[in-house]
Amino acid sequence: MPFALFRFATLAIMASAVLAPIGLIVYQSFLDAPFFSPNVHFSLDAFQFVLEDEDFWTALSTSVIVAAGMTAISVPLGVVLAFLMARTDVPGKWLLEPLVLVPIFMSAVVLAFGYVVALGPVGIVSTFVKGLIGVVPWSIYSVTAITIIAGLTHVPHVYLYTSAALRNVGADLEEAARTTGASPWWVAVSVSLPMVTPAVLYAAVLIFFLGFELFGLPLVLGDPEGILVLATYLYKLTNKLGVPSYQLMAVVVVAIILIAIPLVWLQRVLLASSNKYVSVGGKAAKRAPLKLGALRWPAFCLIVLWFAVSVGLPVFGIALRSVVTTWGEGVRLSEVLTLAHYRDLVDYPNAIHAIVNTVLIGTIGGAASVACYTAVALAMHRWQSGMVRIADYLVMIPRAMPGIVAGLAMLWLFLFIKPLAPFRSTLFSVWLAYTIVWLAYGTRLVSGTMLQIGRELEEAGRSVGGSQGRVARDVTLPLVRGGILAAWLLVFLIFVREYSTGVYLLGPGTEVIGSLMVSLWGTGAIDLVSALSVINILIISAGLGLALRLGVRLHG
Amino acid sequence: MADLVIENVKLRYGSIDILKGVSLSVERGQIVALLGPSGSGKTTLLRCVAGLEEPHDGRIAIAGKTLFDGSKGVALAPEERGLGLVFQSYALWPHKTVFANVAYPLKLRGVSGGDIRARVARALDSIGIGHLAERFPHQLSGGQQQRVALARALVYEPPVILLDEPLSNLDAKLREEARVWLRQLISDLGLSALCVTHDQVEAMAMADRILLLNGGLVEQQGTPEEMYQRPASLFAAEFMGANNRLPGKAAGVREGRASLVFGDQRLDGVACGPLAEGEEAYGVVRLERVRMADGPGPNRLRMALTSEMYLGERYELVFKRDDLLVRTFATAKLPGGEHWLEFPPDALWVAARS
Repeated sequence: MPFALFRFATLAIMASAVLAPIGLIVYQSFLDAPFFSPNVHFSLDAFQFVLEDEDFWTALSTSVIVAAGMTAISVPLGVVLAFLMARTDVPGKWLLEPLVLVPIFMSAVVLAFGYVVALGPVGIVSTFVKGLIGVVPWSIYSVTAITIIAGLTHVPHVYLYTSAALRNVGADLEEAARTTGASPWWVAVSVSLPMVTPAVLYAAVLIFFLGFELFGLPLVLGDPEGILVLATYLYKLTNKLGVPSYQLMAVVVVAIILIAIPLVWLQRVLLASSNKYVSVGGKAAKRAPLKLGALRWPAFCLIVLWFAVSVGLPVFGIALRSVVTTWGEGVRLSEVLTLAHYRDLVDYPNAIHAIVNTVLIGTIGGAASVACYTAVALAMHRWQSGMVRIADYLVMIPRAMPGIVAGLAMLWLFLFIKPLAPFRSTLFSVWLAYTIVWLAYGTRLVSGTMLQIGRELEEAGRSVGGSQGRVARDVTLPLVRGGILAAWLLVFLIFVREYSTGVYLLGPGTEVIGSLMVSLWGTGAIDLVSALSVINILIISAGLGLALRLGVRLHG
Repeated sequence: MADLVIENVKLRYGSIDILKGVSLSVERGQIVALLGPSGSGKTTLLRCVAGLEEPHDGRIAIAGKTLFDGSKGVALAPEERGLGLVFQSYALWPHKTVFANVAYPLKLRGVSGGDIRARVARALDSIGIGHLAERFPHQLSGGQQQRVALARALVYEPPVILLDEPLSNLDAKLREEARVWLRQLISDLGLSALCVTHDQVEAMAMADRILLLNGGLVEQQGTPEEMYQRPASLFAAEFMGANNRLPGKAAGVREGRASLVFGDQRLDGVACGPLAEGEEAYGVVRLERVRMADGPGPNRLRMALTSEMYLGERYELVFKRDDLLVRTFATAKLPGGEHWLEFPPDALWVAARS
């Protein structure tokens, strides 16, 4: 039974890759010193310390405020955006359609840097406004700013789920309402919207959950004013006691995971219920879009404005900052233009390593990860067994670990398991962390395409004499080749964007653009950071362009 | 000798019994049709034979070789059964050409390249699609796809071929041609076949024997003539053919005969299934067996003509008397008003309502 063997072996490897880091963290949280210390005991001191630390509670409540606030911003905007794109004759759809998904693939730290450069106290836009009215009427370093920016940049997530659900609502259901006498707008409110409510609810929980994971934005925008959220509290904890306080970090991680698990579970339940709801829909016939009339161009401008604020502004800011020597009041652009930052980058070996490593981890690493995801998806594919449920939950577990946590867990794992130690300062450790963090996403991408193969095509292979393994090789895999290639591109984009997972693993040999930028930002090297940001944006744009060129759907 | 034997096969999904103990045998060279309404378990039974579903009890054997035995824990994988299966959707692999689709089973059996080419060519030629070998499935019509699916299932010469609604994806005209062609092919090759269908005309046209399934049990089995002319139950009587149903009470039940009594009328007929004197019953008569009569007589009713439909080769007439509706056929137009209809005693089945 070689295929059964493949199944169990794959799932066993997956299970240990998922459970080992989490187990190690939980174990560490009950110790009174780092697990590798010679004299270490079980103790609840770490829990006591963290739970008595005022900063922890402040960070937790800030996280809740930011998460709730950004949900309140992104959900209505996302629903409106989805409705405009899926149901109305808003102009320029061919341009807007790929554009609205771009924020998903932008690195949050790059956007954060961009906002500081554009809207910070001496930012490019700020000084312009100050020149006009004498003051800067906003503060970028505040909880409000973090919440608004996070809300705006997470609109595409809501858009994705809502528009998918809207497209699934049968045209006949809406036409039935029209024929009984409802106006188009009344149909939207009384038929379409209730039908997509489960999907919107799911997206809302997802956004709230992502709010707890926020790291780049609060690190860049919150730190100067001492504003902490859970993830940045964890990051700052490293220096809290002056010694490596692993047990405290472990406790915070356990807290984050305990908050995340019910949210992930809730997402699962809502996703299942939203799928159930959508399948009620009738035939997906072509339908005439609603006429916006005079509102057509205002609607278009609204979408463009949103895009300009959430992507255009920061990207413009960081790009401009990367080609000027300095910026401040009274500076004239023509006097400060320079390419020196890029030249400095070339002379800075770490940056070159980071760029090379990022490309490597996106291309080769991405391919290796997709191979792993494919193996897991194949092992679970059409398996009538209770094991599938368990495996399903295992795949979801890393979802509950924010990237920074997974990176930390991976660092400890490489310290803990002696045979792995030599790999700690190689790209392998970063790749493994990335692969585990995106396990749920990647596996769903691949299994989604596998489920689109008619069951009978595989059964036909079995009935003419092919074993499970043969049919997987000769029928299933060739048929999902396109889907796997698309998954590789998406994983490439995500790996290039990633920054938080590499933060704790950053060292000689493991530099990637994302984590290097976080580290350089801490030292105030804004010139290098802005140049690196632009390079990061360029790599992602190339990937996005290729994806669009190949007609890859930009979501799973 | 029986090629395929199915004994007391039972299958359950969760708490729902799909198959409640089905037995049948297919003799060599025979075509057996599994007929029944949707949800009767006919496709599930076929998939049990193919190994794509696993029953929890019963026995399935082919030519003496056990494929499944619930009591001994034997359950061969689909690929170990060596059967030919033609799917309702044809399930042609879209990434392989016609040639590669048909060659795949031979490749799995380690046949050498030259032999594969010869055998595939022979299989394709024998069903008249030799010229399509290099095409991909999406370049073929429905009828051609069906032939490729058949060639793929026949090329390795399985002892029994299983067909799941083989004609349901073809349009009406093509279906009648394919029926004739398929029956001829199966008998020419001397194959045994088990064929699932929900269409009683198709079952009768194609099969040597019909097995009528109802709710996971065998309702009746026999030759097409037996099934059509001597139904053993109300369900069997009504499932086959187009029927009139006359409500009444059973009377004079004895020695296989019974009468249907309603109002002051009495129609003599054949008892169908268990029937008790005075029980609520239905009389069932095929549309084409209701005769126009020229005057009163035994087993005749006077009814008013209410509508007339022209069907091309004949007319369909609808008669009415109180609550009773009766349909029948006529070769010519009939004047309106009242007419006498005769229900021949050997064509009227009296069956208990249940």
